[in-house]
Amino acid sequence: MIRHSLQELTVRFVQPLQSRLAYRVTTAVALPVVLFIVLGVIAASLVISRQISSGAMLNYRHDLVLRAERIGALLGNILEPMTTLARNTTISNGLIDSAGRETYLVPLLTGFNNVAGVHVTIKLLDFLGIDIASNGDVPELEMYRGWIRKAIDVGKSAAKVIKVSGADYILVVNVIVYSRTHSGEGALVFLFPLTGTDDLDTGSGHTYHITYQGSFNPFPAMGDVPGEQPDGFISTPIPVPPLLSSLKLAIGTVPDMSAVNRNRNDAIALLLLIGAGALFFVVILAFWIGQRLVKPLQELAQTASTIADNLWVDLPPAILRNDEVGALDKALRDMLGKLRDVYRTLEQRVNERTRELQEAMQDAEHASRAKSDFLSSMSHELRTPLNAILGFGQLLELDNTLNPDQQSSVQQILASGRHLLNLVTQLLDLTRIESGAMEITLEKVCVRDLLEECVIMMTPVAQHYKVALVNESKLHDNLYVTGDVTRLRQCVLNLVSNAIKYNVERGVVIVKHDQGHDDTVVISVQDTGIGIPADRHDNIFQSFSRLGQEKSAIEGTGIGLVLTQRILHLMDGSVTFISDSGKGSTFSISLPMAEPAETVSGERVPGLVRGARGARTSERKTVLYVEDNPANLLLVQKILETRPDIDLISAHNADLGIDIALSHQPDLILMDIHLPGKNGFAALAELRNQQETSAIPVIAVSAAAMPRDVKRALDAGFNDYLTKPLEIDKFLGILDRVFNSQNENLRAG
Amino acid sequence: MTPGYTMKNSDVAALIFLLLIQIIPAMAAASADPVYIAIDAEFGLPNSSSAQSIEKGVRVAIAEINQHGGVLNGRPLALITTDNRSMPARGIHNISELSKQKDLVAVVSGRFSPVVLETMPVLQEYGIINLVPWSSADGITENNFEPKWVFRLSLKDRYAMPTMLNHARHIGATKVGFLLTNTSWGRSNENAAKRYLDSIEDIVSVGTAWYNWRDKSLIDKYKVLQQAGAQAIVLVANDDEGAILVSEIAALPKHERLPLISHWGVTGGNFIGQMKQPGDLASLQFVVVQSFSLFKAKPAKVAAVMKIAGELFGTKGPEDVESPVGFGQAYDLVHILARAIDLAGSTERAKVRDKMEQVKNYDGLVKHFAQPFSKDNHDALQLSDIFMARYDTNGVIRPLP
Repeated sequence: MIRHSLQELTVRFVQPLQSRLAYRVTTAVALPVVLFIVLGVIAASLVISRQISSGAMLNYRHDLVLRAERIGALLGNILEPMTTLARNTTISNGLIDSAGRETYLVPLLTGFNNVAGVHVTIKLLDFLGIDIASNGDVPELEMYRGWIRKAIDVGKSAAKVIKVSGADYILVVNVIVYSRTHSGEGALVFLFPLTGTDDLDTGSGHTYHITYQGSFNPFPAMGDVPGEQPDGFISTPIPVPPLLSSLKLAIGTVPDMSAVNRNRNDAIALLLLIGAGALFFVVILAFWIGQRLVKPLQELAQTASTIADNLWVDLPPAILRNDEVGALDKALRDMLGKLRDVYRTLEQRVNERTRELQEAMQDAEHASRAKSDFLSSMSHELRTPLNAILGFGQLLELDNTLNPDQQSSVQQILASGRHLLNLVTQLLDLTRIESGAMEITLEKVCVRDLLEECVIMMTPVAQHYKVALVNESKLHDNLYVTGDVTRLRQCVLNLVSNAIKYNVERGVVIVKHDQGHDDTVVISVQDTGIGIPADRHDNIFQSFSRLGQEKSAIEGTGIGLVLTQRILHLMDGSVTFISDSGKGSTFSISLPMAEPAETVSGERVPGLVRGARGARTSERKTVLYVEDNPANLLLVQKILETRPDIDLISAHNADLGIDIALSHQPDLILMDIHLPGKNGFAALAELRNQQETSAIPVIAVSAAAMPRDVKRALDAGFNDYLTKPLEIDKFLGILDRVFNSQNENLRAG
Repeated sequence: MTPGYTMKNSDVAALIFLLLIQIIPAMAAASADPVYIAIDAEFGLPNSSSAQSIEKGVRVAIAEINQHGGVLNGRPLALITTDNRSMPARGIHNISELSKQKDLVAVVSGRFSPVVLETMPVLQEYGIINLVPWSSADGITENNFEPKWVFRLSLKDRYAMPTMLNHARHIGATKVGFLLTNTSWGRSNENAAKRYLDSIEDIVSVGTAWYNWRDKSLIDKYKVLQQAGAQAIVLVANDDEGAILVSEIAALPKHERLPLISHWGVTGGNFIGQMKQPGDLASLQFVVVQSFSLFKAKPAKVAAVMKIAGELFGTKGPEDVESPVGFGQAYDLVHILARAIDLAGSTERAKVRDKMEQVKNYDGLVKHFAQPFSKDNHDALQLSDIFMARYDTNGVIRPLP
């Protein structure tokens, strides 16, 4: 809770202050006022302190003067009848009239017992200060007989303040001077309490002291000088009646400065409180002003920042101020408006262009896709009849009954058919690459084995063209590359094929490999052909470029190099050439080098090499071919006619095939994938589920030649996969391999 | 004494006192131990001559006695004076001081009855003979002290009042007013007057007015008495108040000036000198009661006394003696005392006091005393000795014919 409040406080007050501008504005506004207030409070404190002190002292003095006057008046009231009494000769007559003292003097004095509310002791004393008559006795007076006597002796009336029972009393000695002798013959003495003359201790709560200073000049050492005054004692003289003229009375007090100080402290505290309040107010005000000045700027900054992120954000309400901030806000808004206009125009144009581009792209894509689709479907549709043509052409070729002319025609048919098939295949590959459908499986490939394989494969062709095919790769260290072995073989064969076909009679084609730069392996195919004219170098890798050989007898599709280049790109490789027209060319394939494999990849496919035609099994084998296309079935029948050790049975749909398989227990089943009704996969599954047929090898036969089709089939459990149109050698090789394996198993078993 | 220093009365008194204490015993020691007499009187009272007059009388008497071998077979009489300034308290104080004096036999009092009336009991207590040559209050001798140590040779009110009232009758005043000092002396006279008026029928009192000591004016009281029908005023006052009244009366129209029949207090001082105008006294009828006059004494006695006084004080004659009653009566008292001392044969005061009552056939200045004092009578004078007198134009008091 507190933490939340603290955070809120921080967010609300501290963070704004951390904004330097707000801090500066706040400081600029608050600092002078704060200084002014602080100095003002200090000055006012001093003034108030002094005023209160001096005011209090004035009050005290005024009070003292008032009291002094009151006491003086009261003393006057008391002493007036005293004076009258003193002037009365009846009193002084008592000095010489002993009898009269008892008869009239004492009653007279007793009558003056109470004067102005004050008890007054009156005594008539003789010249020795001895009582002649009195209205009462005051024992303390005895101490002052000597003083009184001296007053009488010098014939001067006097007064002094004496202590009676601890209280201050005024003792007035009115000396009776005999006019004839001019000497004091006695005295009328008045004694009355001084403290009883005023309520000195009421009201103000202060203690007042009446001090007295006798001006009894002849006897200054008679104790009339008041004692040392306490610190801070202030006094004022009391106006005394003539009878007391010898007595200097003063009233004084020690002002109770604690109360004054308390008042002063209260006043200063109040002042400080007001000052603190003012400070707080000023700081808040300054903060508010700073905020008021800076906040719009912060908002503008925030707005600008927001605009930087999002041009279309809703702006806060406009700051309608007739000052720089307002102008800034307006300018910002104007700028934003123009920015938005520009942006809209730009966007509109971009959209237009994009739409145009998209339309063009869609058109191009449509065209490309149409082309691809066309090529794909065309190639597929072309391959099926081509299979039949080639198949039957091959069968014809094997027919010994044909005369040489017919044999030549068959050879022509086969050559044309193979060319067409090659063309279609290459077109299909190109189409796949362009449509992104080409799938590459990267693996370690043994270059030496690959090249040897290719040379073996191309040797018949080289012999046909009377070109010497030399494999120098055996001279080099065995190297490995990362690549798709099938496709890489395709590329090498293409280059070797070109090197042979575009060579001169009795020319030489050298195949070799070597380590290239940057961990690459370079496979080069060097010919001694016509070479490539320099003006054709630039478009050597373009489709259907046949270096002006279009009309020559040299068989070619014109897309081989393009395809090679595209395929190698897919494998992070490249193909380059060096050529001088008439001096031959060297085409080099560069591929990333791979670490040597522990097992030599070339050994995986030895069958093709080692299991060459002529390798036969001794036992008779039964092959079941499940095929709905009679042309394909006929082709296989024709092929297997050359193999008397193999009996062929067929079924035109899957169910029939399964029944035959159960009943005949063939050694091998060829299964077309695209069967009417139950397809090849379903049939395989049933065969695998039947105990009697589960162990029979099943080889898929399909026109679908895509790697994923192959993979799918192998994953489903097919033992191998043959693409249509069947290549006779390959077909027979697979059969031999399967049967050999069965025989070995049997022998082993 | 340095020039410019003015001696005050108190200084003078103190000086005299010191001189007497220092010198007189020294003189006595030269022959024999003196026998002391003291005078406590109003020496320091300005314008008063009574104390000085008494002192002169005493000194003349002492001189005569010492010339004849003193007392007690050769002891001289010596005098000590103390000043009471007419104040009873001072008198009492002085007496207590004098009581310490060895071989002090008697104290001679002064003019003022209030003083004497207050010192007398003190002297009584101390057992000191109190010689009264002037004070007239009856109470001085008419009291209950027993034995009495006071011996008066002077007028007393009991005698003065009939004499003055008789004078009133003599001048035809049957209605008299009494203006009295508010003291024991005044009351003594009041009593005396009342006593006498009760015994006669032709004179009546219109009233009594009292004045106080130090009153600055008496005319209001005078007028009260005058309006009450007084035909004469019996005045009991001293010289100062008397002078005030005389001047105040003199300032009145002539028909308002009543005759003043005055007690003798006025004669104790410079009565005339204290009046506003020297002629004030002559503008009205003024008589004063007296008990002694050098002009009535035996000429031989007067001549002898005046001779010594002339030697001692340069006194030229009876006219030169101020306040003569004090002079003559004090003189006689000292002689009586000297006789009593010799009769006692000792300065033992009790014996001397006893012998005072036994002195006989003393032929004094005032008169011849067969036996001035007795056990029952401590007043040496009698009514017949009293007479009225007047101031002559020179201020000399002369008996009325």
